Amino acid sequence: MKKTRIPLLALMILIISTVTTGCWNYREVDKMSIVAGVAVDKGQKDKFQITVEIIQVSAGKDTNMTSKTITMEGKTMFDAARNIISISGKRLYWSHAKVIILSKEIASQGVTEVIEWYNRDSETREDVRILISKGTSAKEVFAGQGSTDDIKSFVLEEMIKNQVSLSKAPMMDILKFNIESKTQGISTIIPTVNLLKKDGKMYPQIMGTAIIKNDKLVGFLDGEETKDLTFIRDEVKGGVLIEEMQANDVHTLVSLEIFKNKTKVTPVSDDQDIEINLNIDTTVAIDEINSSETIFNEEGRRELEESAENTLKERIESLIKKIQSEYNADIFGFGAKLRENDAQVWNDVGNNWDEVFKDLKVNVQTAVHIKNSAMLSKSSKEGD
Amino acid sequence: MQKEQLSDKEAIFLIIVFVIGSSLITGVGGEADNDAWIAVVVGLIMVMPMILVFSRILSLFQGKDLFDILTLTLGKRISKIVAIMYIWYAFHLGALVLRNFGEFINIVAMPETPMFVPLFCLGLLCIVAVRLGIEVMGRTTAYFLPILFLIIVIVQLLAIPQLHLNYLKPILGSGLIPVLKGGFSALSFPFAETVLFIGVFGSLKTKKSPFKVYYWGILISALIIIITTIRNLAVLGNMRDSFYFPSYAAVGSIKIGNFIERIEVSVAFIFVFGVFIKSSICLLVACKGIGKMFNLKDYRSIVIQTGLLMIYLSYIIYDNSMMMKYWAFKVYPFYAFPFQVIIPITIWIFAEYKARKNKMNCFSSKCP
Amino acid sequence: MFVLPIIGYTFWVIYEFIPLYKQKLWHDFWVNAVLGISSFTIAMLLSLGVEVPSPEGPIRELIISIFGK
Repeated sequence: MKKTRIPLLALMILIISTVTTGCWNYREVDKMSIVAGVAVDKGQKDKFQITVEIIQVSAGKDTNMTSKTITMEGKTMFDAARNIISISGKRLYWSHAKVIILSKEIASQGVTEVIEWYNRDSETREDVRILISKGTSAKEVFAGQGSTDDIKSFVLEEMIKNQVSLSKAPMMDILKFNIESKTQGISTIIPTVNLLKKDGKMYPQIMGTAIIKNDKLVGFLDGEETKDLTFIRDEVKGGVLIEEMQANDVHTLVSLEIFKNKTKVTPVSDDQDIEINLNIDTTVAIDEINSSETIFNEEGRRELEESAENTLKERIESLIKKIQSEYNADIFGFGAKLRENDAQVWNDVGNNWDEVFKDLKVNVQTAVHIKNSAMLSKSSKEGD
Repeated sequence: MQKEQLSDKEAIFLIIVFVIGSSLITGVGGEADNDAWIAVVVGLIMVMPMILVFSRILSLFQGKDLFDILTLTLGKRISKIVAIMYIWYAFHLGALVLRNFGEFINIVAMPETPMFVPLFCLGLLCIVAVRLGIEVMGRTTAYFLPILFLIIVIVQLLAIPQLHLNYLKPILGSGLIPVLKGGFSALSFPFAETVLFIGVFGSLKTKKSPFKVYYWGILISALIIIITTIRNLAVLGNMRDSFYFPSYAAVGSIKIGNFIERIEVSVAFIFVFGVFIKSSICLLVACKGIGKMFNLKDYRSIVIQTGLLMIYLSYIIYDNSMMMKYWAFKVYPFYAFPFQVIIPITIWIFAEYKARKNKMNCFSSKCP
Repeated sequence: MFVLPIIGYTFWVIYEFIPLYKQKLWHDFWVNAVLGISSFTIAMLLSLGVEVPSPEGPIRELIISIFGK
């Protein structure tokens, strides 16, 4: 026993000292550049031109976080991403990237080839937000002035997150985008970002939707249309409905805040004849009213509800018409819904869903419930 | 030397960890796409007769393990051949599981580290565990399983906001055949792999039938797998099959507030412990088999070398991870089928016959 | 690199082999020796960078030839 003890001890020291030294290929924080966001443009020389926004932390009295951007080209995304080392000198660390912005040009060539590397690599994460820059090149979005923070990618992410109370841009991360583009019977959408000129400064603004059909960008929707779209997709979490009221020859506007929405899409099919029933059930509150009209009694409220229902219905119907005739891309997911509910019928029509969707009949039913009128129980103008 | 003993509870825990260990993270029933969870149910139904067979074999020969039973039932020569086959199966399975772990570490966490390092580290741990014996492994599992359960439940609850249950639809959209295929692959991996426990449960303390142990172990682990599969499907949708490690990706998308995010490591913890127990049991069975075959005094003296060989085998077995996925879904179910179903049933028939004959022989006197 | 397995296996010989020899467990001794030598060979081959053939290929061929694709 005594003899074996010393070699055993030596072995243990050897093992423990090698195992506890840490990782095999360790990388310290100061040896990496942390990427906050990435913009992809069409390159001049090579296929891709990517611009990364890198966080720079400078310690001093108080830690300061600033950012700088680096642009580089490459034949593939990964090539470009690694080429950046030749400028930055440090390897990029991708796990903290918040947004990926695609330019209009590259998106109309194909979205998947841009984000494929992003899906596959183990350092990148699937919950990164995807955006398409509408007016300008993607690179310029990072050049714009943020309204609050210095790191634009973080500002953009905040904007996307807080769209829940605006509903003028859809929520889309890479994972969801992949799932939707792999699903049959649905065309994907991506929120758009554009630069807004104000007081000589450029502010990025996230509003509207880009329509992706068969992996290619085909068109855009503006903010209001996006809101209707999110209604159909049942992704409304908040937002404002504006209602025009004609009372006593006075033209007034009422703002209704959306609190809850439930959209039910039920495909009805008999003998090759497919119809979609769309039931939208919204709960709102009056948040702003410019009228002395007695809207607060039963009758007036009912009237307001009805007119809101009609407006919503009209808007949704016209959006569906527009999409059907102009883009013929099933961004509403009617086909996917049909497949989920009735796989048999889908197997019949799925192959030429484009044709079916073009003349698909959609019956829209809307119901708007007013639950309260916020803090005030009466019109502010009463008795004027 | 005193015989090692395993209480019922520890045995059930061992089965649970053995079954959920690697299957929780690599995913089960990939053939069935969005009906994978039904495939798991089918696999569970398919495995039920098999665990009846396993436990019947065990209860016919109380206190004996797989290799004793082989000699008792099949005669000297044939039993040697079958024993070699089982030793190889246990050895190979252990290597496959270790390799799974190596791929996981290599893909997810440390792409630049040579794969041999994680394999070697975990392999050494398995060697230590097997040298200490099944009793220690049982105790360790009994200690760790509550923690694993806690992690699984918490992660499951945190994933609720990410669930899109409509991804599960259409149920049985592409017919029954993919589901049956998925069920078959779920039978071979992971449920019927518990055939190796015949080699371990010789040390069961209970004198009653080990069916209860098998039954509860498989049932609880199947429940966990079904719930996780549903979660993975509802989070990842049709992307689930694209990932090597769907659980890891699904948990990675959990995001609550601004602080509960990036909690995938919790899954890795379950995985590491599961792989550790699973390959330890494989190594234990292989060593016991070799020990019985060459009439060794104690199987412990060969554990180190067998374990090292297992590590080397796991290192050289695949060239790349695409091969691993191909093997796991296309080759493995058929490869494992004889070991998991055909041979156990044969042994069972012979065992029944032998037992009846013994009863006849010692009709008047007291049977041993 | 090939130094590491040599050191490792030396330790193993001291730790396990010699006690077995002393206890005169010849059965255990020889089985252990065979296993040890084979694993040492593979370790050396791996450390020298020789490609060791995997048993996976033949098994796959066998399975495919029996069950078809």
